[in-house]
Amino acid sequence: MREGVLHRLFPLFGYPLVALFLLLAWWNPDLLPADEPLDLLVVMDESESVGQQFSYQSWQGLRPLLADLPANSRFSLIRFADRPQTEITWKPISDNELQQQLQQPAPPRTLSLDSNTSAIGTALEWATNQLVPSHRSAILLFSDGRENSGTPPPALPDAEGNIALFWSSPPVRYAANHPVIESINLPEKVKPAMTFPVSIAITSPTAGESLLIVKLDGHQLTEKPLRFTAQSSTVHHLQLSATTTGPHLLELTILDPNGDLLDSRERYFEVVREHQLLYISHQPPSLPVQQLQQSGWGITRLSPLQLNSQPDSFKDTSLVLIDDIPADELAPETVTALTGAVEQQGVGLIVLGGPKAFGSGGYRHSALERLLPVEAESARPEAAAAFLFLVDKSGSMDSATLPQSRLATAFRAVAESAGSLRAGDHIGLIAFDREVQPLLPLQAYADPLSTLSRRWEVSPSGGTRLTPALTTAIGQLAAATPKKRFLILVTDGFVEGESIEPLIGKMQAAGIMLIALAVGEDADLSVLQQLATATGGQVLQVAKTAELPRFMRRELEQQRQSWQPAAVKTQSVAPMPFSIPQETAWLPVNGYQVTRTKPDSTAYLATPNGDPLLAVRQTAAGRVAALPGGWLRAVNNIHFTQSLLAWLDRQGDNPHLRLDYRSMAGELQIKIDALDSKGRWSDARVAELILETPAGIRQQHHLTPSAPGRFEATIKTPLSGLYQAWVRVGNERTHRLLQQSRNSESIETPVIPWLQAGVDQGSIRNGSKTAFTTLLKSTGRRSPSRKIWLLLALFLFFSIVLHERRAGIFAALPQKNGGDQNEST
Amino acid sequence: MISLGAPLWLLLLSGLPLLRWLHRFQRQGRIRPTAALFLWRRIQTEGAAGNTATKPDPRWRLRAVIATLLVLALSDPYRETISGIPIEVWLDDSLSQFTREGGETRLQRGIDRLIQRVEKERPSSLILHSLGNPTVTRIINPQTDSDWISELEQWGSNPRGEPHPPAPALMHQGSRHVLLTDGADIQLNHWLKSAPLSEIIQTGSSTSNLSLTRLAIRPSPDTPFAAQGLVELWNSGESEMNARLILIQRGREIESWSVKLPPGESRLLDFVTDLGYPADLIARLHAADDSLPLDNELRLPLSSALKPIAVKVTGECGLYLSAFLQSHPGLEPSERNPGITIDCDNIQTSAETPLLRLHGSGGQQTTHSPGHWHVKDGVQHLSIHRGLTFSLEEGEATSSGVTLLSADGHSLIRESRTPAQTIDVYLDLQQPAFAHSPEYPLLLSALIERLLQRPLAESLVSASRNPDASRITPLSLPETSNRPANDLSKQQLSITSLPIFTALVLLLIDMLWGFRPQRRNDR
Repeated sequence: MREGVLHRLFPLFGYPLVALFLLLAWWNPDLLPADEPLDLLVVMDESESVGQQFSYQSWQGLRPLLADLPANSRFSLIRFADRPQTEITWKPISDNELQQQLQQPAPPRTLSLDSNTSAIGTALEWATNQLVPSHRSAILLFSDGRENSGTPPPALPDAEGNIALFWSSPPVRYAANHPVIESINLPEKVKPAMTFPVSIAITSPTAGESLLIVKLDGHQLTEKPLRFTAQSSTVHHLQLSATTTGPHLLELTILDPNGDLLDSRERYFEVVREHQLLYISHQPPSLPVQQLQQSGWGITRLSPLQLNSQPDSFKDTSLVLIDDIPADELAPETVTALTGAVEQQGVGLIVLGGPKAFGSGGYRHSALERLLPVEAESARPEAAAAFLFLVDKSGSMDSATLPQSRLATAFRAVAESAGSLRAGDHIGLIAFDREVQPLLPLQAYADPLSTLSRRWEVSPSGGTRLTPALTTAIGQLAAATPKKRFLILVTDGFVEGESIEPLIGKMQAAGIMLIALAVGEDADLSVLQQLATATGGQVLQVAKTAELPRFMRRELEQQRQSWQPAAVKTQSVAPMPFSIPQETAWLPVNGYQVTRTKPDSTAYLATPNGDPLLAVRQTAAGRVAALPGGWLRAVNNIHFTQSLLAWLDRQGDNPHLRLDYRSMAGELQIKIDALDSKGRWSDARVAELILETPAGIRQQHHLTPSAPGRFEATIKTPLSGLYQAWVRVGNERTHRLLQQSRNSESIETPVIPWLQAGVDQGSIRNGSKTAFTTLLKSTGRRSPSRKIWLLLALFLFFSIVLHERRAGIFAALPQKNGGDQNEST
Repeated sequence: MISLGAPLWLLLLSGLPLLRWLHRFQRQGRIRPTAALFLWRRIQTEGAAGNTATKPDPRWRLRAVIATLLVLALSDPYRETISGIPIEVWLDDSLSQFTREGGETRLQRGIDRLIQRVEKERPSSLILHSLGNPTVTRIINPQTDSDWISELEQWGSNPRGEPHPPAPALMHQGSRHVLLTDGADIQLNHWLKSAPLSEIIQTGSSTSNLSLTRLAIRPSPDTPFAAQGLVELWNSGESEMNARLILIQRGREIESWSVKLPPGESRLLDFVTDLGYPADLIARLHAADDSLPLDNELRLPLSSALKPIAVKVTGECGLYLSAFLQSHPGLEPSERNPGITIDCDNIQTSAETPLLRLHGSGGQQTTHSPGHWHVKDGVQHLSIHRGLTFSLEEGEATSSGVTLLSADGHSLIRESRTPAQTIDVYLDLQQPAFAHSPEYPLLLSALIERLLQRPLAESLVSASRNPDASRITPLSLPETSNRPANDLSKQQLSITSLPIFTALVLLLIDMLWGFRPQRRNDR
């Protein structure tokens, strides 16, 4: 009875069940979890801004992540900084070697990268090219999203595509937990044996102690214990020097108390070849020439006369030293060439004082003085003086054999001597022959130079009667307000027989000093000598008429007492702009020229009463130093002298050819600017660049102009370190060290915009493990559940049929006994 | 056309004879209790109690159909179609595609061929990608958009740059990819080797092109208001070309050259121009056989490029800074549309423009050590020697931002965002010793450049064109081994639901058939 019920119920429930299976097959729901293999490509940023901690953590987090991947998934690893480097190429996640690598604390690193550069765009483009198009793939980017290589944004996968891009960034910006070298200030070029400053900024997030080791060319120079407080930044100063010309390597290393490396940096500088000092003097050099030569100076000594005859002497000179030379001994052409060399070529200039220079050398208002940092007169107010010029205009003063008459030269001398006059001085001018001709009343003039430089309507004629002229002059001087009274007499000495004794008393009574300039070798000096001796003055015989202005001016300056012969103390009034040995002693000088510092110049050494002893001025391209006391001779301090000369010296660069460069990721951007010999942009069609790599291999490049005088190139430089560049454009050449450094990544670089935009648009997903697991579950291939339902339906349907036909089948089977029959009945 | 994705399942059809065999057995009779078996003895002669028959039950055919349909559904039947598959078109809209041939550009001819193709196939959607600018994409539905042809024709009106093709893995697998190119770009041709393209539409045959690749001027260092200039032209074609090159300023021809240039060679020409009243400078090339006119002109916007940056100055800035601003060719003190603000009295707390704030007042101290630059580029070469005075304003010195220059532990120059980019200078810029040094103008220039995030006008103005962009000679495209076979470009539309649904209906019939009343002759 019970079997009969089942027999009836089976088709009753079987058919709906088959129908249900068919409906499920039609619907085709997913039954099984994702099981499609995944190609996982990890792109790991190893630039400095990310830090190794994040790299290690990311790598160590990969192992559990890979354990969750479906079977037959594959794994690949790309490290990048300045460039991408594939470290693991598509290994099955079950691969034994891969599993061993995943157990290591750090990812495999077969090639070093420039960790100070980050090229995320390049790395992602590289990564997407590694993917197999038909495979389900995911890229997992471990990066802080900051790059400094300027690479264009790569094409990103679609949010709904077959490739998922995840970005995992450090939770906070990486910061080292130990002291690091933040920056180094170091000159690019130095002179042999020159002491130059180096400053190093070291930051430390934590308090503690460490050791700074400084090596130069592999040899340890010094080690400096460092003590930090938390979040501190300290700047350390060093004084270095090197003698061998060429590049030098400075290595800075910070060690912890256990001697373990915390940070290190390398910087290069160049000691440039010896420089040429042009020494202008009458005497052998008073500086320690031998020591200077030993420290790399090439010294050429010329007299002013030789210099005047060699106008191109400044061409190969980097520094000119003028040692106690009067201004008028330098020809105007020489001074013009010197000015051009200083202002345009950057040639340095030192002027040493002495009894014949500055005020005594007629520097006041001269072309040479315009270059100097000092003016050849005192800064303190001086008592006014009266100067009366008495010029002989007799017929003998007119010499037809000269290009300019003695009289004209005399007036020129008078005009030039105005440069020695001070504000408030009284000046007057009288011409005389047999008659007295007052030309300029004795009084103070606002502009003595233009007053005395006017053209005088006087022509030489007649004889010479000195007494009336002297009488008139003495009368004017005696009435003048200033107590210092000078009578400057210019004559050729052909004085007619006159009695001058009465005048001597008057001159002495009025305090008048006579300065007589006797022009010509045949001048009769007896009368003049008598007058001069009586008044404390002197007679100067000017053999050559052309020298008259110089004689007159120098004599006036001497009367001004600009040379102070007494020993005087030296005081430092401002810190030197260059490094000097700390033990430098400021020794006194034995006499100096009284000068005053120009407003645009700086005095570093001075006398107790403020007269400058070392003043410096930047004049256009060059630096000029004035030492009115010749202080370098006094101190005999070779270190100070070397430092001063090196500081003033032209920097060794070719002013017509300049090479600039920018260190980028794996490349150097070179920019060359070239002038021709006329100072115009060079019209050369090619710049020849020879680049020596850190491996010592020389590459030759030919650059074409991108603009007038401008040549540009971007050169692949995969190796970090020192590159040397030699450039030739036309006839101009220059040389420069280029450092493909590890300093190109800026700490303040923001997240690259295209990466942030990708996150906002959804094409880049959050790189957390949860998000990754969600992807694995959501994007798996659909399970083939339809076939299951269909098979179930088919099986059940067949079972129904079988069940339906069961009795007939059993009946058809051969009967073994009658039990069945009995049963059926 | 209908096909099967898994035809092996059809082997199950071999079970149909079994089904038929089963139906040879009739339905089993009813079990009836009876008093004696002999009453049914005669029935044995007809067979085994009526359970055997010579002909199968006619229901077996219905059930065979049901089973066949289920087996068919297991075999993944699908219909191949191409009309539903989107076409993604990768348009090479680089300069060479605008070469004119027969009155049309190469790109226009390529688009015409594409239109013919689309009209024939009517894809569900047409996705256009610019290879010159990957961010430019447009989706067109030719089946619903009535003006899709005009949209296509208007697509490539201007060059968008040299091709920047995507990584092959980023190209959708469910689409057919078509490339429109003239084959003149070598990089693109390399990409063809790996890109999953279904078709390449290549147009272009001409090879003659003379192009202007560079125009630059630079103020002459020795002559005021004069500039030296440079213009470069290149024959990217395969034959010698004659051309006339003219320079135009204020609508007037100021210079001209007749040039004969062999193929593959370039030439640089110098000129001098007046900068007294800068006006835009145009270089124009006239060549008879030139197929690509778009690269025959370059323009220098001198009137805007040489315009100095307006600097708004607040407070008393002193002699030296004023002299710097007056003498710098790239700067101009002006209140109108300032590009930068210089505050000499430390009164500006914020500004809409980048701000250079000078702290002149406050306690004055003198540096005892040389300044140290904490930045790695731009200003580090400037030597800031010791002995300079600076303002000690603790409040400012400890403010947010980063130190650019320090000495003796004090910040001399700091940089911050408040919110505009701001640089605070505590160094005394009025001290003559510093103001007369060559570092003074360089420091100010460098700080202003840092604030502006760009170099101050160095007065070099140039325009250039990538010479490779002017290469128009079509290259033979490589045979792409990875190009999918035709069947891969077709869509497989599953029709599994159809046999399932039919089987479901037939099953219902079978079930109803099975439950109908039994005939009495079964007895």
